[in-house]
Amino acid sequence: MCNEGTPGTPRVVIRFYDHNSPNDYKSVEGLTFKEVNQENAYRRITGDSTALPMDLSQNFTRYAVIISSTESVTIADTLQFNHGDRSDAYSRRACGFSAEYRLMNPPITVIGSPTWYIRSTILLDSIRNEEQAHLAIYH
Amino acid sequence: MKNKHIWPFIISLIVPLLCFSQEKNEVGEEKAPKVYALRLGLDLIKPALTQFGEDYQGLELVGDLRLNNRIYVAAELGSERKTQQSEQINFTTNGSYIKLGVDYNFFNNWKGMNNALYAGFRLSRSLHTHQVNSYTLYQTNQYLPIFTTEGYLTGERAQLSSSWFELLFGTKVELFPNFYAGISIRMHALLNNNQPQDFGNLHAPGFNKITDDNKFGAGINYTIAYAFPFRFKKEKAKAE
Repeated sequence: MCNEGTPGTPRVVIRFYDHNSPNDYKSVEGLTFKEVNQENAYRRITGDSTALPMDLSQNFTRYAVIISSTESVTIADTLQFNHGDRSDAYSRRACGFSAEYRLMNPPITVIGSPTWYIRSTILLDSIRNEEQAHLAIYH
Repeated sequence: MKNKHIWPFIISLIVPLLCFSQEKNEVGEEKAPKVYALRLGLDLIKPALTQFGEDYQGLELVGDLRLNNRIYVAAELGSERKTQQSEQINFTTNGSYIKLGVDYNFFNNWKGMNNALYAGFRLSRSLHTHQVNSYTLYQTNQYLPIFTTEGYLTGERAQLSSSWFELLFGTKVELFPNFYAGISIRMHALLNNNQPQDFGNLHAPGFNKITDDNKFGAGINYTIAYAFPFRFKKEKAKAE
C-alpha cells in the first residue's frame, strides 16, 4: 500500500472571496459540491476554502453547487472547471503514477444562469500540490 | 562499475577450488581416472507456469560441470516474459538472464552413486525491458471513478539490467543412469538495479519481484538433466 500522506494527484484548491470587496475572503454557509455524474455529493462546505478533485480523463469537470435543496426544488449552479496540460510522473512501486495539470482560461464556464457564482480568477494555474490556493471564486 | 569488482571476486573464489581439486586428484589418480561430467538440463517450473496462463512465458536451461565429487561449476541461462498488475500499474517485463557460480556437494555417496545435496552461489545478471501497458492515477480521495490511462507515460522502457547474488541449497538425484532430477531453493540479494526514466525497475527476469525498500528476493527451480561424462585423453592414458 502507498504510505498515507504521500501526495497523490492534487485537487484544485479554491478560495471564496467577496465580490463587493475583492480582497476579502467570504465564507459560504452549507454549500454542497457534487460532480454532475456522481450520485453522492463530494462534500458540504462551510468556510472560505475547499478543494475539489478533477476528472483527468477529460479536459473539464462539472460540479453542481447546490445552494439549497428541498424535496421539490433544488437551486444549484453548474460550474464547468476547465483544465488540461496533464503530465504524469512516477513516484514509487506502491504509489504508482500521479498527475499534474493546469487550469485553463477561463477556469470556470457557467452552465445556465448562476444564482450564487459571480466570477472567478486563477491564482496559480499549475496544479502541482494542494499547498496553495489555485482559484478564487467571487460570490 | 560494480561488476568490475564482482568478476575478480568470483574468479578468486573459483581458482583456489580448482587448484585444490586438482591437487587432491593427483593423489588418487593411480587408482581411477578422473571423470568429468557435463550435465545439461531444463527447469520444469517455468514451462509449467507458461502452460497455466497467458501472462507468463519462461524457459530456463541449466548446466553444470563436475570437477570432482564435491565441486561443480554451474550456470543457468533463462528467458522470461511476464505481464503483471502491480498495485495500479500493468506492465510487461521481457528479457533474459545468466547465472554463474559454483556448487559444493556435501553428500557422501556410496561407490557408484552420484547424488548430491549441495549449497552454492551465483552471480547473476539480467538484460530486460519493461512495457508499461496501462495505469490508474494515484489519488488520495476516491470520489471520482477510477479510470485507466493509456498514453501519457505508457510505453517501453528499454535496455535495463539488474545484477544480484544468489545463495542456494539443493539436491540432485540420479533417477536412471546419467539422468537427474533436481530442486534448488534460492535467496537473491540485489547488487545493482538501474532505474528507467519515469518508471521503476520493478521486476527482473531470474530475480523476480523487486520492491521499493527491500533488496532481497527468492526463487526456486525444479530441473531434469542429463549428464555426459568425459575424460581428458592425457589422464585416460595415465590411467591405462
